[in-house]
Amino acid sequence: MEKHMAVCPYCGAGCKLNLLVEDGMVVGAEGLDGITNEGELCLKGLSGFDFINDTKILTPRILHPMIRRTKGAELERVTWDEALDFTARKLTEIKEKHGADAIMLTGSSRGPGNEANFVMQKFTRACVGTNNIDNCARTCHGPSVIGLMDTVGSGAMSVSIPNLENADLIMLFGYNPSASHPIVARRIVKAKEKGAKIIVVDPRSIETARIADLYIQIKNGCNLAFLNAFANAIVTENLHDRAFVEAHTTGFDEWWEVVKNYTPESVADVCGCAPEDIRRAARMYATAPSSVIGWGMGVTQQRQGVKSVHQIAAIACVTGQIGRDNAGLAPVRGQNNVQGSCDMGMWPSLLPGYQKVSSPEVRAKFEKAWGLPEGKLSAREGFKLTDLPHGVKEGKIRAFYNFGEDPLQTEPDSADMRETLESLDLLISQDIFMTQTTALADVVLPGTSWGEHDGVFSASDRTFQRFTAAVPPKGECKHDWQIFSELSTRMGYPMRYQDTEEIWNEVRELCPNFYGATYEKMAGTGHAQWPIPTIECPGTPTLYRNGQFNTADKKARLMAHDFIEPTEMPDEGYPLVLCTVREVGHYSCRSMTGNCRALTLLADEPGYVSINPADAAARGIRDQQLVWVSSRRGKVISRAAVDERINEGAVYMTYQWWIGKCNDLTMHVTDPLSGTPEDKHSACQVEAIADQVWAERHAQTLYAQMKDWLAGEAAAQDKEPALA
Amino acid sequence: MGSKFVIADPGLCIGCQTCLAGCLLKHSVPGDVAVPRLNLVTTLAISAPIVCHHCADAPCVASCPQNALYFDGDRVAIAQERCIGCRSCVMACPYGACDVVSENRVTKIGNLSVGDLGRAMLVKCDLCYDRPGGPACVAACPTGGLQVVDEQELQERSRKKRLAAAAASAAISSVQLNTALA
Repeated sequence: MEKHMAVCPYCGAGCKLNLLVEDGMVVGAEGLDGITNEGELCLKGLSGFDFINDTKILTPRILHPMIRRTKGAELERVTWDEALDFTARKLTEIKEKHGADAIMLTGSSRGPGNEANFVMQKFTRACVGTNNIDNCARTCHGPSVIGLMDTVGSGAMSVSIPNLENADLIMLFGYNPSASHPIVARRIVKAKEKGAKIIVVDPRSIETARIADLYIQIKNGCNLAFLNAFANAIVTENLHDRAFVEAHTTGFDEWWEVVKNYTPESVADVCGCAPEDIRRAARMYATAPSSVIGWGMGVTQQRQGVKSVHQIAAIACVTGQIGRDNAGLAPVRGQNNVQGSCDMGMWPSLLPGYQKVSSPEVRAKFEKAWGLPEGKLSAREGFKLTDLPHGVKEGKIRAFYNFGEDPLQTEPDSADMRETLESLDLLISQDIFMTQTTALADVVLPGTSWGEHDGVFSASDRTFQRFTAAVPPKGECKHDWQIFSELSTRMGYPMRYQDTEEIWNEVRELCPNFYGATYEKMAGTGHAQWPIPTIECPGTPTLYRNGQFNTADKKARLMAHDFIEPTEMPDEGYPLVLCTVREVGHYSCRSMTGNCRALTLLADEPGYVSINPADAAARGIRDQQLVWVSSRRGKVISRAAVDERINEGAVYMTYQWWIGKCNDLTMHVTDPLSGTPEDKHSACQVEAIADQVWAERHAQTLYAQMKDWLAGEAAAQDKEPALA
Repeated sequence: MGSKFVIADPGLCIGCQTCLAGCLLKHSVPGDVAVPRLNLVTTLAISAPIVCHHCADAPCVASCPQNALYFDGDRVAIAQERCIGCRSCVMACPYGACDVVSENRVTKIGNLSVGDLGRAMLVKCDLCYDRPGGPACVAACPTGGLQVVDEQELQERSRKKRLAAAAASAAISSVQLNTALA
């Protein structure tokens, strides 16, 4: 049996593992002693490997390039040359007719790795000539990236994952690590074992609430009101660190002008919690020697995501709970390389290494390095991923290059997204699976899978780690960076790389904060945590030491904003709040985990809608029955999980299911500051289905139809192209 | 006599199902049934996988008319070929740790499927008796929340409790004890 070192391709915890290979098949995984996982793996790391082998449990791998010669024609397998020529011609036509800004691209925060993403954004900026490149952080921690850059200067965790267990207090706010990042949840359990206090603030009684010293159950959608009141309690009880505020922050007076109006008593109704609990939490947080705030999608997928992040950062700054090893900010990233996509400049306003496209000096540096004439790089901020629907409707976006994402599954209001994708002049999908999005594409380009290529991932806490290929590429699959290079070369901007290390060295040269992260340093279970500006630098587990923030004046900017309620409040027709959450045993759009046998045996369609026993009883719904869930956008079948951990008046659906698809129900309304959808709050209704036998058959039928459709689209690749 | 079993610490359990995945992978082999032997139970206060205790006086063994369940050293073992799927053990087990599932076996003549036979299979923890390193679930748990409790572990726990009780008994001594020795 062979063993090949890799980094888990699922959440952002960055767990090192070995892939076990027998006869060219990946047959197992075992934990390695990595910096974040210390040999441990969760269920996805342990059993989420067999999708590489093309199990066809959910949908087939794409092994050959395919095109639709005309819009709406059948997919047809072609040679790589023909596929790339076709794509280059189509993109060039659109660019000539509508301008470079009519082409939009998205990076992949999943298996491809940093090098592939870097080459894609280089292709976007240097060859296509636009900043229309984004990544799925837009839908998840985008508000954290933006909100933290606004306030403290870096859009990332300020503390490291290993140091979480050394904190004296951990407050989880809208973050359920047990489902999102079990290997991070493990650190929180360890912190508790070492004597840390735990505060959980969440509408759901999540796993960590069971070991919390204080659990505050809040109403859905009240975040900013709660945070403002928490900040208010800190100042009114004199718990703030005046010396730190004076020395290391700006804007305290303006901040207080807003915060002073939010006494805990004034928000009690909005938040649904006791004012004394808010005060108690504030006292515990401010007075602990070292406190960490962890947050997740519960904060960011809201109408006021960025503004809530501003306040979280302010709370850490006014109490001086930042800039030390065990004190700081922990927005833990959802996808294995979503930190990496942001690091690599898959962002419409940022070049790699968080260097702003608006800066003439930065553009000049990249132009020189990339052999471009002066003024070639666009200074105009590009479109966001969530601009796609209206951008297409308004005719501003004509082509969309989708790289390893499945917006038809993961973006809100699927019916609208489908119409968007179908309205494009050109949809390119570069993926490893025939996903719902790929099935609509005009050009299908098969990239190599995780397990078939090398590269570097960025874990959630800014830790770069290398992963390696375990098996050779299947079929005609090409490395993603090769596909982009060959396309770019055809479109008049030649790119040629030998391997990922050559690409990575270019990244290092261009990004001062990444320079010391050499392949050599990251060999085996090695790692490099940015900022790592020199070869000698050991990496930086903790940001903002001694109150030195990464802002222009080195000071944190305190920002506060008034609370407004969510866009769609429950009413008579749709009396329940729908909140979308994550399945522990599945990942992202589920194209990978849905093709893993063990994970599919543990959880499969149509997934669950979790509901409080009182809300279930009022609707005559029993545990495990199939039910209808409907909203103004659509109606889906799901299975009821009657669960006392769920708050009354709200239901929760995991976003991994293709039949019980919550994004048929969610709405496309975004935080105006980040473009992040308000997935955590929309209105819905849940209804019992009288004939359960029919319902079970119906769900099975829908699932079979879905699989048949995707297998049918993929079948075109089995027919070899005719010789030219 | 059965006296070895896997037990979860509900404080360390994060409900992540990794134990279930470890169990499933272990049993995903030809001739075995790919069903997790642990059942994760979550209530407001508790999360814990519940699994066979290999009871010393096992009701499942007593309930089986076919001797499909029997004592094998320190565990309750299964003789699958004797199971008739009567579910007496499911009824008898106080931990809800026994399950009878139907294993679908397609009978073929050449390439022609001639029938789908549902064969009853008794599913419960076998302590991974044939796995070097012990139960897969214990090895898989990322928080160290599962452990194998055996006779030695039970004795050690009892010994510690007795020691603590003995020390506490100083408080009720009828004569003054030598505090220098405390």
